[in-house]
Amino acid sequence: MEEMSGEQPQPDASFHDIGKIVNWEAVGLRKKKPVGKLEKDPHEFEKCISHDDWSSSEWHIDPSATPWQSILTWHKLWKDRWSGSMHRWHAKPADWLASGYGRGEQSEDVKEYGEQIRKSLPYKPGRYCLWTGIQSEDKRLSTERELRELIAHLNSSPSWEETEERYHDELATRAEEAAGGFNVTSVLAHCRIVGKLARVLAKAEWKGAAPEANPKKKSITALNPQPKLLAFHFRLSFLQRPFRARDLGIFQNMQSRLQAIAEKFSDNVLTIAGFEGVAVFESYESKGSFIKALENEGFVVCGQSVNRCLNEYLPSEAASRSIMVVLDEPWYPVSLIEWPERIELPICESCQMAQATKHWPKDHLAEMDGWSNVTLGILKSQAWRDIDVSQVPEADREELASWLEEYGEEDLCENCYRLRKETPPVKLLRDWDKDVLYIRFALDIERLAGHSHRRTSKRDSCLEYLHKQYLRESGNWIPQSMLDNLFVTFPIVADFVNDYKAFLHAVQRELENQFADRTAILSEELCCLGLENRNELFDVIETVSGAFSKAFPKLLELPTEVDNPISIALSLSKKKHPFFDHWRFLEQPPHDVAVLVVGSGEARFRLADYEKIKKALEVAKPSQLHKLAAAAEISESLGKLVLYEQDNRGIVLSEFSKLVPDVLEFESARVLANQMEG
Amino acid sequence: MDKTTTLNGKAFLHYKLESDLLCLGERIRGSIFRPCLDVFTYTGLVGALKARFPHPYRPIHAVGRFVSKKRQMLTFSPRDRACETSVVPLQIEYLSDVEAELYVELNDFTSTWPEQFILRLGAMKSKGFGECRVTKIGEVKPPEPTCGRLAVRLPDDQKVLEAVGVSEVKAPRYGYLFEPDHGGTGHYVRALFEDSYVKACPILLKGDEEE
Repeated sequence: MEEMSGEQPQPDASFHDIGKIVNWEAVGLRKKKPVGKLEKDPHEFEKCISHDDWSSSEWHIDPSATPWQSILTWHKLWKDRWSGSMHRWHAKPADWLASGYGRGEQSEDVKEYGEQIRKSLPYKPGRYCLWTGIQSEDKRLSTERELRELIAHLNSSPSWEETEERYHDELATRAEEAAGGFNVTSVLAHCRIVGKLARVLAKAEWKGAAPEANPKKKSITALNPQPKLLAFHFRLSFLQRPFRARDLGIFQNMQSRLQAIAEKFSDNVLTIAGFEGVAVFESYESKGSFIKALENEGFVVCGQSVNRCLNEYLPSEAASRSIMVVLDEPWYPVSLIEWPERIELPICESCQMAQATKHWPKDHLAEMDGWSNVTLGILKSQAWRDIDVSQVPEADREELASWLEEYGEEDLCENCYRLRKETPPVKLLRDWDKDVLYIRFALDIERLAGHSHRRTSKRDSCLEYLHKQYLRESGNWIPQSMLDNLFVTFPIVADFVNDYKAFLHAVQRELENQFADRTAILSEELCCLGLENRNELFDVIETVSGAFSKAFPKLLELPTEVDNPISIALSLSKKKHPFFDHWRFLEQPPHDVAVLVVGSGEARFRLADYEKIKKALEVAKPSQLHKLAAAAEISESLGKLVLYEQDNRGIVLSEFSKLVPDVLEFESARVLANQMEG
Repeated sequence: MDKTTTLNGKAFLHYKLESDLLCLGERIRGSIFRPCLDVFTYTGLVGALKARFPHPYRPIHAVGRFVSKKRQMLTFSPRDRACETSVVPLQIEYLSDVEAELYVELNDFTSTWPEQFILRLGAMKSKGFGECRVTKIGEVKPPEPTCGRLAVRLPDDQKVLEAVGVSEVKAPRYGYLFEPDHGGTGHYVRALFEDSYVKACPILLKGDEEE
């Protein structure tokens, strides 16, 4: 038998389930057994190749092509085309870690309830999306020609990315687990995660693992020493605290830096949404180099960590939630940089973590070409505030004067200076006249996918709730113990994050269309709008609400006891109000929708209730809103009198009164009325 | 080192601190906006206490924790008397209706302090900010250290940490605090900022974060 040679390209475990995009029954390779049941889905291409000599005269599989090494590894039949390769030892546990339903405690339930539960779970190969409620059509390849094309594609040793591009629809709509009720993960997300995990595990220590053996949970558990797997859920902030609107380019800059690190650690980083993500590592060294890379780029790291041996994550163990157990851990600040014990004056005004050795913008200007020697001499010798443009040659005067007018001097450390130099100033805000509205979105992975049994609130996380709801609604008979043990697997989180990013993109495009040159996109999750009238705030909420209801309609049906994992924070003020104050509110946005109107107050409500609130605002007379806002300014009691004011027939005038306090707190109603009034 | 034992026999004076207007300026030059801290710094408290109870040799160790406060904004235009002009207005953030707990290490010097005194703390003192009414509640023995998140800013100095009852720093969140030198200058020292995960006396920890 051919062994894997050293020169062969590294196999990619992402391909292991590619056969699931084929409708084997339609192609005629999955038949009914004599008892009437269908045969096992032959998605490992076992019907297309000889089990004896790996020849494939009919289907022309070329098993020497790299993808086949991840496919022709028949765990159950125990046949492997590359019996001497360790790839199986990396890919198999990766597959277990990225699966979930039908495994672990849930698989025990399936075993216990046997046929009873199997009958109640119909075969559903199309993925059901928990947050849209959309059941995907079955888009599997269903003709012989398509199967032959897929085999030819795999024979050409394509990369996984090329394969994703070609078969995206089929991969995204096929459920990883085809049992109805559990068909909630896409093969696409599952394969991506398995590929990453297998590459990380390949770097772990596998002493004692016999390459020719068929790895099972027992044989992995028996390994000594155990391969390590470190899971890390991180949130990032940064040291620099931008005050001025022109410095807001830092968000885009830091996002690019994070992107670059994520690409460098592409196998480790499983998902990233904004400045939050999940990563896995095979060693402390590898995790340390990731954290140091983040810190060196100026990030402040806070994280939840699980550092365990591989066998402790595997479904046979109590911790059957695989890497999702990381969400149960407490949050800690994480820092591996040796910060100096003492810093001499002056300290960097931006990060306050290093001595300032640079002067902005003086040093920056002195490094620019085109100045006369006289100007250069002045820039190098004089303090910024002492520079007199009249002493500067006329050719340089206008340019230097504009810098003097725009900037005061700042003492910066090397890092902040470099950051400032490479961050183009945000100029849009300068041209706007009146108010600015900052909008920040944030996804909380704990609220999305944490486990109710481990959460302090004991509430279902969003995906737990939606999945239980789907199981109940689909009419399947599911034992209560299975519902109790239900947990969210990581690929669903990855699927959600992809849709979240698409939502962010969509909402930003819609805001750009609506507000045109009054829109500044500051990062994936942050943007700023110039408002001409304060009641445009409601147009913005309307746009966000519309995009949200398209992307996540099921999240609008969450009961009050289940938190929306996506926070939407809006902060409105006069243009000149310092961004620092906005950012304090936006950095850790509260649940659901929160609106801060600087100088007026804060309104909070559930996005699901926005339609009701909008209706109440629309039918309210401007004079009523004005009266309510003015009265509430004087005192809450007076405001409440106005809120519940009745006409001669005893009818309460304000529609708002029906919403307070169940939908809106009085304070929130006051703030919204105030803005509607303009 | 078993740092828990270093607390044996130690006690703190427990005071109630009240202030109408308190401006604990962040050391950021934010142009026209001066933000206010919402935690006490060890250096700020000890500096104010040393100014109130000057003694050349006796060390003072003190920490504080807010009980309640309101964040407010003041627009203020400093006047240049020489030019007879007012400069660009500043927006200054401050805390009002402040109630806080103040703990001072008990020794034969601090034990002589009065039951009530006025402490001047923070910035803008010349404009009436920073006057704190300090009233003694009693003496407390530090309870057993527990793990939690720091509610104050402390220099990362073993002597200080021992004095105030931090027995182990599990996950630091570093920043820097200004420490004055003789002669009107100073330097910055590495410090544990709020939210550092430590094992310490509960009086130093954020209440809701104790684990």
